[in-house]
Amino acid sequence: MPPSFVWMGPLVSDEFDSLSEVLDDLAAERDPALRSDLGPVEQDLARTAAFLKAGRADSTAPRPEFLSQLETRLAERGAVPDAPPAVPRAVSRRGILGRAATAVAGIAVGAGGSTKLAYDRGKHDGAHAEASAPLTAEMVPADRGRWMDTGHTLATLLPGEARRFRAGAVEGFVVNPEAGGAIYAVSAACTHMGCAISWMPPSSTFVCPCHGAQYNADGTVLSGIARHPLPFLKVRQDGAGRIQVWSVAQQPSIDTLVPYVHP
Amino acid sequence: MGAETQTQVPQTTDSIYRAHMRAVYGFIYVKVGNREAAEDLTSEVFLRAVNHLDPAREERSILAWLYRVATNLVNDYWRSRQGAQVIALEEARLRIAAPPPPNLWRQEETTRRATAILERLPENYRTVLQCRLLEGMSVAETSRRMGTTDANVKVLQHRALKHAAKLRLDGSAGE
Repeated sequence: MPPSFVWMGPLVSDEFDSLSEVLDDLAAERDPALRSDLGPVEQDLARTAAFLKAGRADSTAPRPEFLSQLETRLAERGAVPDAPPAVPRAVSRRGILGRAATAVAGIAVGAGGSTKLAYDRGKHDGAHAEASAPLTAEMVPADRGRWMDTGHTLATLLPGEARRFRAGAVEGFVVNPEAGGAIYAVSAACTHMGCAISWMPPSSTFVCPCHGAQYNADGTVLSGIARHPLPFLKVRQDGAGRIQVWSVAQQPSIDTLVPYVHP
Repeated sequence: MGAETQTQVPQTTDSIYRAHMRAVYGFIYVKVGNREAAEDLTSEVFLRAVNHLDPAREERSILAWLYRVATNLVNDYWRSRQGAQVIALEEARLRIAAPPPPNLWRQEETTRRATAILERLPENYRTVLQCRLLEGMSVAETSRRMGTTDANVKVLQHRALKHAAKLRLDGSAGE
């Protein structure tokens, strides 16, 4: 006589058990223990469980004590001041750039006090601007500025060329337009996040190494993530043909810079 | 009146952080499903922001940063729970749904999608998940409620979540 089988219910394997324990933890708002037996499938199921559970609004609301504790911790770090930050915006913006190879011109935009630069590009805005639009809008230090040498001269700057310079707190490119016309200067700080852009001679464009924004030689946006054109800088030539830019001597102190780590 | 004075406060980094703590917490909670981990990771996001984020950034850029860091931390969290293996499904899902930055988390959206998924499940699957996830019942309590065995509850909840994961993946692919 064949043995009779008694149905004991399905066999429960380890995965079923470990997933069930994870669900127990989630229900108790506990962080599930690290477990090596939770395979990729069960892990995806656990994440689905987390999502379904969060459909209940009361489970996703943070505890008020947690929020106030976190606010206190942030305030203790000194970075959540009630007053506007003591460090001028312009200086902290430098933090984005890192300490080397930065386009200093960008940091002065919107600065308060002595390093304040004003710029208004008027109609010359964004990718819609015509390349031939008059180059009237300029970024200039509002006060305490002075003419500073770029190290380039009319004689060395050939038509179609752009040369990098640093003059005081300003970093930019002087450009001799290929089509003729007056020499001009644009900021070397990408308007997206302030990385120092590079000049690409074959295409006569500026390219940002950080996120790939591209600008035309006149600073208008060609492609990529940047939305605003490169600000113009006020330039002139002195009697000896040296190209000078209106800038400020003062540079932000290295001590006030905020280190930046890209996430 | 309180609300009026609130709106006149200039948008400092401080106020931006405060205004978005709940949403970032919710965004993380949805992905980890427990308060302990959600609190840890939320703290980590804002402490990192305080240490590394340039306060001169625009609000929009700050928000994008917060949510990106939150997403990274959640991915690290799950990755650390699985040794060397990588979570293929969730990351694939993240890639499919290109996040419009900043992708602000909203409770209503989570509730709507979670409810829609539950509604589309067969009844016994929905019941087991409601007992175990929404009502926080134990396996034993659930088996009594459903008139079945503990072992069966474990199998049922596994299958129910598998079904739900598929519905969720289908739903997010179209978004």
